[in-house]
Amino acid sequence: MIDLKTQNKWNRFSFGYDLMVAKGAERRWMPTKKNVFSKMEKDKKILFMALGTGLDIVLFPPNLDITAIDISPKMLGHAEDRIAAYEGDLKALVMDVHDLEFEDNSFDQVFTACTFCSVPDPINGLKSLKRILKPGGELHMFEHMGSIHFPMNVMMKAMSPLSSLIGPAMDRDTVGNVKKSGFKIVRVENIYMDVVRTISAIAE
Amino acid sequence: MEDRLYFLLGDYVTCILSGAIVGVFSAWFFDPSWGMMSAMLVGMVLGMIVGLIFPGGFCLHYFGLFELMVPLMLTTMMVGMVVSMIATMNPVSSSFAALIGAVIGIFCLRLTYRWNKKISGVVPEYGDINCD
Repeated sequence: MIDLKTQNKWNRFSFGYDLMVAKGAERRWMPTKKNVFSKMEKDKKILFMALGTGLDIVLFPPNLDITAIDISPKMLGHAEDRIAAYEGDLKALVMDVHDLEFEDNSFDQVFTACTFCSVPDPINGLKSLKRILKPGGELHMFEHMGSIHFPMNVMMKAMSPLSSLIGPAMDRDTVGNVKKSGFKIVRVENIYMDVVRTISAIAE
Repeated sequence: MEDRLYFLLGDYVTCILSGAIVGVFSAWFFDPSWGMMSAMLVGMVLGMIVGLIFPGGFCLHYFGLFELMVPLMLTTMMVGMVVSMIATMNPVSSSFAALIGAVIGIFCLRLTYRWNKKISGVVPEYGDINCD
């Protein structure tokens, strides 16, 4: 069942989301995101989680078979032109990560980008992703999370209750959550300090 | 470390400008009637709030998010603390407060660049297994 509270939140933000989203961050992170998405492989079933208004589609390699999900139908409505412009097979579905409607072991790769800062129950969300991944399937994430370093950890903890109201939490332990959900982490790279990171993990 | 000119300029402009603005604000807000410790604590919090609203909000939109937020928060906290502390001893002119703020802004930015250089890259405890 879809989490209506979260869905309504993102439906509200869908209007003007592209204007509100930090252009600087998108431009700054573009090379790293492109590098993460370059791991998408042909002839593999790929799930992209939280497509939003489709800002990342332009960074996907062409000619792939990608299924994308998002909790907000209005967000996906704004993504229609970008989905149509993708040179490959890109299907977008309204779905909640906590309650994925896919069969077990049905995907080879899952990709996320700045998603698990906003998922209400990240460990259950990650467990759902593990369920739909084939054994040995890959999870590739580009995420921001809380820091272990002072004073960043204090600042982010202090800001998180406020930032969660309008969007993402700032103090998530996403690497720890990936481990707790049963994935085997194979690579973590700090992109900016230990706040912006890429994570690669395998469903065992 | 960031090597794209657009973002480098953005980082410096943000930290210098926010440091100067918080400096001027703190010089105006605090005076010798404040106790030093209370002024420093209030200065830190007010500095962060003022710096994150203006010019932080504008600069964060165009130049980056966490890459700017971290030096920006450090800058505004430190400037708020330092200028408020000085202002409790003697009145501080706006131009001097702006100068202190700008210098602290550059210092905090350079500090975060060095810090980032030290800890960015592959995290060794997870190894670097190619899962392709």
